[in-house]
Amino acid sequence: MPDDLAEVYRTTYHALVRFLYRKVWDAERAADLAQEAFARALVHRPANPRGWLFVVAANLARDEGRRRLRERRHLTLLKAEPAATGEHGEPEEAIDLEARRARVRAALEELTPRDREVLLLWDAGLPYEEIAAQTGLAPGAVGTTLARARRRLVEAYEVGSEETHVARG
Amino acid sequence: MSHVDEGTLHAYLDGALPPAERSQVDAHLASCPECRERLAEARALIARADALLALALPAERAAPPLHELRRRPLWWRVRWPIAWAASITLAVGLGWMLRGREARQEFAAFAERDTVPQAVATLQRSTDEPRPMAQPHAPASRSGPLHEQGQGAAERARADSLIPSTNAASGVVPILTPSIATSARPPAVRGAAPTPAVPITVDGMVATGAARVMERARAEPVMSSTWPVIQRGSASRMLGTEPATIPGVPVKDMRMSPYADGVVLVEQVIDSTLVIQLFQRRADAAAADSAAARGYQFQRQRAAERERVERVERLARFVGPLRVEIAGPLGTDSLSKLLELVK
Repeated sequence: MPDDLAEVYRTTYHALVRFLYRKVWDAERAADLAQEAFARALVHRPANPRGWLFVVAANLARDEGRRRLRERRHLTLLKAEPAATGEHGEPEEAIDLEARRARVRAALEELTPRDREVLLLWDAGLPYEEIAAQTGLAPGAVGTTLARARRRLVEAYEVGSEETHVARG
Repeated sequence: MSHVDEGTLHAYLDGALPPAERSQVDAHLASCPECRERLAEARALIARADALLALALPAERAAPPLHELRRRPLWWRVRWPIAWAASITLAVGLGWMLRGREARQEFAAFAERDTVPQAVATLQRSTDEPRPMAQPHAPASRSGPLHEQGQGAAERARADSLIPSTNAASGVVPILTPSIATSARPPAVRGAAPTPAVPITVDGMVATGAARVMERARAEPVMSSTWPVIQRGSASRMLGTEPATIPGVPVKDMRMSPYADGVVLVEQVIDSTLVIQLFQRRADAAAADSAAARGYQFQRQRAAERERVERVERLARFVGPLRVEIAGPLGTDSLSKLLELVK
């Protein structure tokens, strides 16, 4: 197998950041973790860099999630008072975009971990075989899982939107 | 054919069906309006899901150059706070890339008196990658076919290389030719090396095949052993200054070019899987076009052609008054990172 990590970096970096962003929901952190994954790949020189990177990235994101959970407990104590910073000054469009992003995030979190993982891996550009290898699914089951994940995502998003509208009205 | 299930429709639309199955689906769709309708629904669902995911995108920023990643503070923060860890890890990592060669070495002595391999073992333990690369210092708790193969390879490499050396204490070791190496193979006693010396069976070029012993058969030494070993003092005289090295990495030997062109070769070992070569000469000397340069370039090119999978790349840099060229069958990025460490 050609060992051209530079080429994988060029073609996969942004997909990896995207994949990580939907796990940690912080663009900067996602970029940091993606770079960390590539830094490790430089050391380990895996035979299948792309699949390896996504496995490592998923592990990093999981560790990150645990760490953040601990920190958040800490922060809740510190942030007992409501934050003084208001939302004034933000253009309405940005708020709307942010709200929709939050709903997508909430909808993604409604999925089962496996459905979500398959969907995010597909969206990051991995072919069915690699998704199957990473998630332990049979190759023939990836399509079914993806179909279910997509449907649940759309449904959860729409339910979330309705709830928001009801709350506003 | 019965109706096409939803999962198959999604795989069809994702372009993930094998050709045979795909044509079956095509044939069925041609004759089944119901499935065509479901296909349209699936297509709409995919588009909708993609659109939702597209709402959840991070602001895209340019990727930093790959070779910058090593220096990111995160690298120190996340796990390995010790400053030197990254440079050692980098170098060791490069070693795993090195394919098997005729060169084989035993580094038991280094493991006993240096902290580098121990640090490497510690670092290995602290990583949690899913597919550990086989390497001799890996903790025994790791299992799996790849690792076991690596252990076996490591033991064979030890068995191949337990050959006493006489003047290892000086830090400069003799080069044994392959014929000597193959004719003298005492049985290995694992964990109880009979000699604290640094037995070497290197025939000139980078690296051992410990982790990739399977490839040794087709691998060729990139350079012959015709470069005589010299003492550091001679190297300094030839260069008019101290030879450039990667700091903190044991120097295995220094050699001089047999072509009387003033090129000095410093070989440094980092781990049992890695030897780095630094070719150097006075920057003002015109050795680049010499017969020597052409000679070993030619040899490397031939080796690269034979090995096909591997790329043999070389990079050069000026370090003080010296022009230093780093060698190894590594990617450009990897070599340049290592070259940056040279002092």
